Amino acid sequence: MKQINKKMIALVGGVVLVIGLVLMAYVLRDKLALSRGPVIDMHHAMDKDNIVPILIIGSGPSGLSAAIYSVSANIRTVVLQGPLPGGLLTQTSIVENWPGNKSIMGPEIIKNLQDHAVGLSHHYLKNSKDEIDKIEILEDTATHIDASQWPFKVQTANGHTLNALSIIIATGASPKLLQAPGEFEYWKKGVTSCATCDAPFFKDKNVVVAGGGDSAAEQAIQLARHAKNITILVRKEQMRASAIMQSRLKEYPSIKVLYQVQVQEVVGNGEHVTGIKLLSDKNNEIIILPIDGVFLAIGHSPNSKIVKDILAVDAEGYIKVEGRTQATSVNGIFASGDVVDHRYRQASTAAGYGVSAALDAIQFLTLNGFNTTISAKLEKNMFRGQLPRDEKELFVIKSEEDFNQNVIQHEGLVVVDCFMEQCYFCKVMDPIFHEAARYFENRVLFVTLDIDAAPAMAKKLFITSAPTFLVYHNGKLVGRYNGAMNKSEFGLFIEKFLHESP
Amino acid sequence: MTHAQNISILRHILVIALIFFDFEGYARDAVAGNVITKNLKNIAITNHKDITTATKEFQTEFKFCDINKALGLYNIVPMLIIGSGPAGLAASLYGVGGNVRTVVVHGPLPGGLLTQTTEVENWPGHALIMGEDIIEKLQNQIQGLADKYLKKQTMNLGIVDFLFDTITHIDVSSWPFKVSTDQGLTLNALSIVIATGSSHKKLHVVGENLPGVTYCAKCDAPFYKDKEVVIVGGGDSAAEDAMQLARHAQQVTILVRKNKLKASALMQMRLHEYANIKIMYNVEVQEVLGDVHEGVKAIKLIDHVENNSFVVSTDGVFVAIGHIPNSDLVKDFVKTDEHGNIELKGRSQTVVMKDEFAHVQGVFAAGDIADKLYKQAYSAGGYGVGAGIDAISFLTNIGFNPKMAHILEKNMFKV
Repeated sequence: MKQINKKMIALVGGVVLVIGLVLMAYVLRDKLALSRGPVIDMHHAMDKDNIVPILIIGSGPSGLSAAIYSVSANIRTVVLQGPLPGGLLTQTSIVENWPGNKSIMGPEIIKNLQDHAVGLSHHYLKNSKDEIDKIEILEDTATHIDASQWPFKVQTANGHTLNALSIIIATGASPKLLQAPGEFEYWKKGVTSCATCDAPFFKDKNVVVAGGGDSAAEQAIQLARHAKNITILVRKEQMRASAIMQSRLKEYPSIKVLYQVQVQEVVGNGEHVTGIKLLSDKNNEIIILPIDGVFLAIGHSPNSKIVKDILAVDAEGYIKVEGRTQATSVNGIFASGDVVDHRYRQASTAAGYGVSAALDAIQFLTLNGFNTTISAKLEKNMFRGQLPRDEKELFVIKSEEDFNQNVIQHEGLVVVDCFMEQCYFCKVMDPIFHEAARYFENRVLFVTLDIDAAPAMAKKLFITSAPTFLVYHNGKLVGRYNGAMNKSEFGLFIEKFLHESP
Repeated sequence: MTHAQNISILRHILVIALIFFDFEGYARDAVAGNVITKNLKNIAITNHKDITTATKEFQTEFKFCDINKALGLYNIVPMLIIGSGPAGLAASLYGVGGNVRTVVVHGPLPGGLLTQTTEVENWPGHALIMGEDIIEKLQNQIQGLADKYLKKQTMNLGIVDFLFDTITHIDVSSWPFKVSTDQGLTLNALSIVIATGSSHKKLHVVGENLPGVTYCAKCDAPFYKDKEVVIVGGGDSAAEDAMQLARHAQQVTILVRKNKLKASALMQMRLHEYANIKIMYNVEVQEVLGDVHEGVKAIKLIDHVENNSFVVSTDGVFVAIGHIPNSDLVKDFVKTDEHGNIELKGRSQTVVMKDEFAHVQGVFAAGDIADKLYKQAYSAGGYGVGAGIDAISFLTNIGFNPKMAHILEKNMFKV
C-alpha cells in the first residue's frame, strides 16, 4: 500500500511537473519564438562576399513596396523577380481599387512601383560617394534558402549564392486552376479569380462561379451586387460552404446553384469568354451556358514551397507571422503579401504589408548593429549582379583584324565570349563574364565577340551556338565550352587553364 | 501501477496539452480568419448538429445585430467611416466598391496628418507627391467610382457622402449604433470604421510651427542630406529617428531633457556606433528660432544643471516626443493599450471591445489609431482596405443584401 502511495505521489508530482512545463512553454512562447533561428552576429558577415543586406524574394506589389522603403532607408536591396516578374497583378487589366488611381492597368502599377524604387536609388547614387546602386532588380529566382546559419545562404537559378542579412519573402500565391481547355487562353479575358477586384466589370452580365466552398459563396454574393445572373457550379451533390452562407445565398434571387457538374471547356470568340461547356454527372449530358465571365473560387495556394521547411506555415501553406508584425518564425526573415495574407488578398493590402515588412527588416538590421560604418566596411563584399557604374567595357571583336590583334597576337591567356544580342543564356552569362574579368584582371584577357556583327568570323571559328567560350593561350586555341555555367563553374573553368599554362 | 497505465496517463496529459494549444490555435483562427463562417463550420462539423441548428445558433450569436431592427429607423448609414486620412478613404473606397452606401465624416482635420506633411517620397508608386495630393487623389477616385455606379442604377441618392462634421458621441449599447455629430445630426450606423488617426505630441514652445520643425524622420530625412539637425526626445523613437537621420544628415544631435536616455540599452549602444550622432543631456527646448520663409535656423535651449540658456544653430528640428492616438471618442467601449492604441483581433481589422460590450459586432478600426508598430500613411491605406472588406463582409453576414438595401433606401441618411 505504502509503495503504491509513493508511486502515486511520484506520478502526481510528474504530472504537475509536465503541466507546469507545458504552461511555462505556453507563457514563454513569444519569447521562445524570438530566439528561434541562427545566432545573429554582425562579425559573421565581415568575411563573407556576395552580401545582400535586404533580399526581397518576389516582385509583386508587396515586394516592390518593401523595396521602396528599404531603399529610402539607404540600405542596399536586391529583388529576385521570380518566375513571374511583377507577380499576378501583371496578368490583370484595369484596376479600380488601387488607392490613389481612379483607373490603372495592373502592369502599370508594377511599373510605377519599380520606377519609384529605381528612381530613389539613382537619387541617392547621384548624391553620394557610393559605387553601387541601392537597388538591384534581378531576373532570377531563388531556388534554396539555408536558414541554419547567418548570413542566410540563398541559391538562385542563375547560379548566384547570396549571403542575405535579412530576407523578405513576398512570393505571393497562385489561384488554383480548373485545368480545363480555354481557361488559360481567356485568363483575364473573362476568366478571373478575384470577385472583389473584377465584379464591377460584369455589371448586368451573366457569370458563373466555379467552386463549392465559402469563397465561392462569397464571390457569388459580391457579384450579385453587380451582375445579372450568377450560377455557382458545384462538382459534388452539395456545397461545402457553411450553412449560414448557403442560407444567405437563397436571399439572392439572381444566384442559382448547379450541382454535380464538371467544367469541360471555357468557350470564347478569340477575344473574350462567351460560354462554358459543362458535363453533368447526373445524366452525362453536356450543357453549354452562354456567359460572359468565369470566376474561379476553388482556392489559392501560397507560393511557400521554398520556405516551408524552414519557416512555420499553417495547414494550407501560408507563412505564419508574429502578431501584427511581418516577422516569421526565423529571426531576420520576414514575409508579406499573399503568401501570408489569406484574408484580404488585395494588391493594396499586399503593398501595405510590404511596407511593414521592410520597416521590420530595417529595424532588425539596425538592432543587430548594421549601421553606416559597417555598411561602408562591407561595401566591397556586397553582391553585384550587374556592372558597377564605371566598369570598363570589355573589348568587342567585330572583324578578323580585331581577332588577330587581340587574340592571336596576345601573349598569355585570352577568353572569348561569343554572344548574340537576342540569346537568353548570353544575358545570363554576361554579368558572370564581367565579374570574372574583374577577378582575373592582369592574369587573363577577356574579350567578347558579337556573332551577329561578325558572322564570317563566327563561321570561321565553327561557332554554332551561343554563348560559346573560346580559350586561347599564346594565340593557340586550348579550350572551348558551349552554353551557360554558374559563377563558380566558370571560375573553375578558367582556373584550370591558368593552372595548365601559367 | 503498470507501465501501460503510466503511458496512458502521460498520453492523457499530452491530449490535454494539445487541446489547450489547439484551442488557442482555433481561437486565433476564429479571430483572424472569417469569424462567422469558421465559427459556424466548427459548430456544424465538430458538434455534428444539423444545418438548421447551426443557423439558429448563428442567429442567436448575431441577435444583437438583427437587421430587422433597422426597419423603421431613419438616418441609416450602412458603413460609417470616422476620419478621412488614408485609412478612412481606403476603407470607403472598398465600401463604394462593394456598392454599399458609405458616409465619411472628416473630423477636425480633413485628410488627416498627411495633409500637414509636404513632399512624400515613400507613397509607393509615386516618386514624389505632396501629402495633400494623395488625399485629393483618393477622394477623386472614390467620388469617380461612386458616380460611375450611380449612373448605372435607379437609386436616387449617392453611394458616398463626405461630411465636414465631427463625431461627438457613439452609443454602442444598442444596434444600429447611435452616432451624434457636432452639427447636431443623429445617425444610425450599421457598421463603423474608426480611422481617427493620431496626433503628434507638441513641444508647446514659440516657433514650433516654423517650416523645418517636423515630426517624421522616416519621411523627411532625405531632405537633410549633409545638413545639421536636432532631435528632441529621449525614447526609442528619438533614437531610431537619429539613426535614420544619420544615414543622410552630416550631424545629428539628440536633445534629452533628463540626464539619461529613456531608449532601450540596445538602442543606446547602437547610437554610439554612429560617429555623427551626438547627445546633449539635461536640456529643454525654450524656443525655435528662424523665420517663416527660410525656416529653422537655430534652437534655444536651457541647461537645467548649469542653469543657463544658449542657442544652437540647426537646419532642422525633429520632434520625437511621441504620438497620441485620437481614441477619446471610442475609449469607453473599445479596448486600448496604455498609450491609447485600439486593440484588434488577430490580423483582422475587427476591434476588441471592452468586456461589457463583448457581444457588440460591427466596429472596425484602421490606420494610426490601431497601429502601434508602423504608423505609415501607406500602411494605414492598406489597413483601411482591410477594414473596408471586413465591414462589407459583416454587412453581408447580418443580411444586408441588395433587397434589404432597397427596402431601407428611403430610410437612408441624406445630406
